[in-house]
Amino acid sequence: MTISHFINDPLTEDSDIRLGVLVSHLRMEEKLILEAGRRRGLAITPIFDRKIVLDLSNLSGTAASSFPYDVVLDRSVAHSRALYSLKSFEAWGIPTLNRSTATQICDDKALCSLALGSANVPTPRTLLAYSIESALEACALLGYPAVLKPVTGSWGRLLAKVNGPDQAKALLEQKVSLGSYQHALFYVQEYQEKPGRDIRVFVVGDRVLAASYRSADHWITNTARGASSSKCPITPQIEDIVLNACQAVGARLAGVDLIETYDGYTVLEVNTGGEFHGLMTTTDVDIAGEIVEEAMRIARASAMRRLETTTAAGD
Amino acid sequence: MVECPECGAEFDAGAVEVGEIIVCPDCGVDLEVLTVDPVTVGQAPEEGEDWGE
Repeated sequence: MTISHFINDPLTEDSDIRLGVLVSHLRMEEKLILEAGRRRGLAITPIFDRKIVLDLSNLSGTAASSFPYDVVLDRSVAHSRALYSLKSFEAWGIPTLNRSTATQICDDKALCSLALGSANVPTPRTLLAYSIESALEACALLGYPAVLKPVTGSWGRLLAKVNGPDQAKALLEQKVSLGSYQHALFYVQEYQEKPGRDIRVFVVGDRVLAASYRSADHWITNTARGASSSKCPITPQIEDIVLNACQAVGARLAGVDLIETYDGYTVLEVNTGGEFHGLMTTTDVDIAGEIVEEAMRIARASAMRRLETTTAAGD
Repeated sequence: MVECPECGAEFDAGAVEVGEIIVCPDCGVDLEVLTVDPVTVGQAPEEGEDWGE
């Protein structure tokens, strides 16, 4: 494949489209996405993040030619790798489904809370503190129980509900002893009662595709922690809050987590690498297929813009 | 048949792709598919602190 193909092909045929899928390894979701791409005849290729070398000093087409894709979908589970890869692809002019800014915001709970709060999207009250003393003050301000979360990471890891100051102090001291600076960024959130479940909503483009309840006896209702999924109807209220949340963080593809409170729906987080294996069991919507279709739209739109630019330059 | 590098169990991995994570049915360890023809596996990468969805 040549650079001239990259610049001038309007990608009229599905088989013209080269979709790269950035992965750490293949989970069920990535296998389904690869299958959906192959069914449509796309040239779809997994890009294993641990195998790539990014030339950060070369912003010309030479660097881009090492990644001959019309569009890249980020499905890496390693947030840092995803961020630097997306930044590089963007610098080289390769379109991506989620932009790096969305990934950067969503992979950092503090930035995500700020973005949601700035856009007036309902989200639990959250405080950030940098020392054990100030974190204890934050817990007291919110009232006990309070929830401590790491600013990075996922799947319900290292989440803790603290019921009083003694427990909070012990936990904060343990977090500091873990060593990395992220563990000394104390993200403290008000604990909100929920009806034994939260809601995972999947968004692709500007459409809400499907939603499921995730139920568990534990206060952490994450499928990675054993929660079970059941169908959740998509109401106009859910649609509004979820699309507003995605707009606030700039996500085009996301799994949004909501909880039902006495005051209405509240957004817990927006995951740009949203998993959908649980959701899939509750819906007939072909989520993987929809993701691929969105990638195709982005590739075509980008190719058309390039073509118009090239044509205008030749006038 | 695939041999688990952790416990030595032999099992049929079925239709798999390079990079896929499978679980040894005997010892339960996560394994990564390294090649598919023939299928070989290695221990799956350890979960990093910044891993997530």
